Amino acid sequence: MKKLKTEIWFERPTPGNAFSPMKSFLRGRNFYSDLVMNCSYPEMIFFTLSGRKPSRRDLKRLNLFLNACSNPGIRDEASRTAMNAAIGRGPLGSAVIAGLLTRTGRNRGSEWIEEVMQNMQKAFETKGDLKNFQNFSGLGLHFGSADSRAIDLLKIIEEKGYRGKFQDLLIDSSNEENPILLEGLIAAGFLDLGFSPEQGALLFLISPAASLFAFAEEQNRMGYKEYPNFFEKGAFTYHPLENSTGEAK
Amino acid sequence: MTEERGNSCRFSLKTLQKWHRKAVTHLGIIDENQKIVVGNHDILNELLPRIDLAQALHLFIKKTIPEKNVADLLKSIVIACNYPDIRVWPIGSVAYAATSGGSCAASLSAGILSDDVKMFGARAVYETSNFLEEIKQELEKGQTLLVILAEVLKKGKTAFGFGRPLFRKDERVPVIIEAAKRNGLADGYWFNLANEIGKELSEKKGLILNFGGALTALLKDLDFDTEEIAAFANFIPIINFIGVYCEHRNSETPIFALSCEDIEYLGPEIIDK
Repeated sequence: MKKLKTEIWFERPTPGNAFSPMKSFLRGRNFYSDLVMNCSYPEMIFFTLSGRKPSRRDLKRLNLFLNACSNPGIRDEASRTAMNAAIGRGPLGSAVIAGLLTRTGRNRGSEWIEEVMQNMQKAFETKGDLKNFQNFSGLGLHFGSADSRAIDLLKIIEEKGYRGKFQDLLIDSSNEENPILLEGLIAAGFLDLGFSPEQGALLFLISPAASLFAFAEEQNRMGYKEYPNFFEKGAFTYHPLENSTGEAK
Repeated sequence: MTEERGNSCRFSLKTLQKWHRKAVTHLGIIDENQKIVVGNHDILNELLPRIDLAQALHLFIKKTIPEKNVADLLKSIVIACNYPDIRVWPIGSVAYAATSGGSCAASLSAGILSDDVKMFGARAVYETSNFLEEIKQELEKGQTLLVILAEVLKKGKTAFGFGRPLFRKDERVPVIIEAAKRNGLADGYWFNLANEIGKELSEKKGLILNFGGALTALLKDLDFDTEEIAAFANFIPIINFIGVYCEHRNSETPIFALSCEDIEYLGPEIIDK
């Protein structure tokens, strides 16, 4: 039988009990007596994914980008899925996962982030125009308007001198019709920190877990009577397909 | 000493050494000749021509092939519970995930997790099964049903399987009762008990026997245990979820879009820096 092969995790067994780890190591560093004490949570994420400790500047940048995607707001589909899952009094952990599943989507979820990051890499390598990637460029409107969240974050990035080459690309590609999206700025930021598109998608996906939990827990506590149920007349309508008998052809 | 059950880290060293790199199944396997065996049957060569989907579901849960009447009742329960109304929360979750561009698997999983709750769905039938067992235990102690239910109501305990949020009636119950009668399966101990409880709670509190209550009782009469009933309930809405996913994937219209003004903020004072 082959052994599990990994560059990430090593366990030194307890003498006489090969199932019980005496010490555990993450990428060569003692996990429980060193890293847990000497790493912040974002630093641990960076170290887990890349195998190296971030510089102070990179850590601050990572912290900023993780914070920026740590709460999509209560109207976001992921939050509403988490609340939908919590309202019937189920386990809140499941509600969070349900919300995160919605956040995986290609319409500005983690799959979108991954594709945007890939397109940013392509545009950078070919000196191409990000706008050619249309819905997957990191540019566009947010609820029909310029994205005020992106404007706020960009201001901080400029003030702190956190801009990297992919954020430069995004900013240079933007115009009035194609303003910068918050998620685009974050995607570019993850690339600037050296993360792969897959890693960026993961960071974007998991960072709002606590906020999804908070929304789910609040709704669970308030109950279904304090939740929009859309059973009011006209909220949801059924339009049968014309000329359909329901029989397979 | 804690019970040895669950994650490997919960087991004793002796048990771990015995099962080092080993596992066991009573359900089935693909053997060395690539024959797929489930519940002692060759599923491809023996069963495929002669069992339907409901029988296959029973086979995988109970490890036996049911009679046609049991399969017909199971099929009726599954079909009766599949309604594609995205205003209902778990179904709405599927629609949110689908319209967000989530994969079919992600959307179905969001729906299944949203349906795994105590108000309805899988956890509700789990709790219903336990509730019926508790009532049975009290009856066996010599208490009358009226006294037992009066005590339940007095203590404010939830009568799982009875009542329905948003609606007063459950349109699915008469249909599956009819299916149970048609198949000669409407006269078991648990179903009769559920009906008696339903009559009493309906009169006293307006809590009707709901679909989850009826299906739990019917499955208990078919010898499903509590976890098996919950597992069956997890499966039930999947057909509907697939339909909702197919309709709403990359939807051209938003689903129940809310504006900022739809939020009533109840938190601490806003500090706008």
